[in-house]
Amino acid sequence: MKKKSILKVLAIALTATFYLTSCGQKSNDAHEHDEEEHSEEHSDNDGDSASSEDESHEHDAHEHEHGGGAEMTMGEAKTWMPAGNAADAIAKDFHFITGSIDDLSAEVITDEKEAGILKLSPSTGNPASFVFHSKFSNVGVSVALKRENFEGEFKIVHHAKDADTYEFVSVNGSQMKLGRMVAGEESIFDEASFESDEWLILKVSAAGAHYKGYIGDQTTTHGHGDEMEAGYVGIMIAGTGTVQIKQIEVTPIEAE
Amino acid sequence: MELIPEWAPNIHPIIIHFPIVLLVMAVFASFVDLILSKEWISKSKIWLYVFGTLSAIIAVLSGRQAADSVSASFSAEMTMSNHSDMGHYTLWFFITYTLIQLLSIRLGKLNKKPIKILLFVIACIGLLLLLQTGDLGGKLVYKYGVGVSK
Repeated sequence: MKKKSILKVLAIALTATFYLTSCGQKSNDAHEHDEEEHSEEHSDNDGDSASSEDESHEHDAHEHEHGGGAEMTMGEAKTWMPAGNAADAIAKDFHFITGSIDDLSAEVITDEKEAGILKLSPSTGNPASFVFHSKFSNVGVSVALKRENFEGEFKIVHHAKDADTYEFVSVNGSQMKLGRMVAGEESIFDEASFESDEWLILKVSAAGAHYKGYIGDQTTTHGHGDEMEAGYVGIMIAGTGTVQIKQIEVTPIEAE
Repeated sequence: MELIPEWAPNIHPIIIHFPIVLLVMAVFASFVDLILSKEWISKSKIWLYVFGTLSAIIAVLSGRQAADSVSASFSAEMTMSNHSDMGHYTLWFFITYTLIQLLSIRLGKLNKKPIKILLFVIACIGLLLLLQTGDLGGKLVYKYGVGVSK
């Protein structure tokens, strides 16, 4: 009987430990992608240029190029800042996976320091999503944005295959969600409320099976899930009002 | 004395030293027990595994809190992710191993030299997991500056 009591106590202790420490182990199906980098061309930043896109090389890369349609190349670190004509700026560096430029009423304005700001004023509420041409595996994305009378959801999407399959961090009012959409079915890893200034830095990181959403440097949401295949990175907007974007920064996260 | 000093963002850097020392000493005690086969060494070994594992549980829990409280660059995220995973593997290894050690007391037949040698070899695997976890933790601080005041 004493042995059975000990075993019962141990079983309860194990269950409690498992519950407290469960932290989404790496998927057995997860496999590492060799990140074959393709260096994208710089756009000359003159007065007529559609956009400026600085390439910051964080690691050695060798070129890899797919053919067909939108250039499906593996991405490098990049910082995108709007300049010139908004439609041209978006068309040059992004492609839409849902909606179109007509849904966004896009224009580029300048702030007091003459820096470009992409102003999006969707009015229909239809979701529109534009993504960089390159694909990324483990990745960190940072967007400097400001919402003015915006009602709806603003998402950073990553590992996007199409409009129905992607991972995301979203903000809707003061609520952040971190999750995944697979074949149109949404699953939420974590959600939390946050406070922010007028301009907020919304970030997401996907490193292995760990996903985090940040406001500035503050981790706000933290979730776990199986690794998804490399996919597109970009923005999805579903709502009405005005969203201003100063900068989109994408950083590939190297495997150990 | 504050539980979390002003200079520390969280308690994890303080806690981790306990499982590292206790579990390394436990494996060392396993080795000594192989050679000397004294009862007091055998009992000490068990207590070291028990307390080492308990402190490992606290280390993992504090690590989860730490991961959400520190600011880390994107380049550190994979190391942080691997450090977390390795910490969990180490924890579950030693939970299982400690239970086996406790069972070996109850079932006296397991307390024989060939079994002890096998258990010691298995313990060394746990030691490697522990060292790998610690190495990744050190990398977070010394390479990426996670948790370091700027």
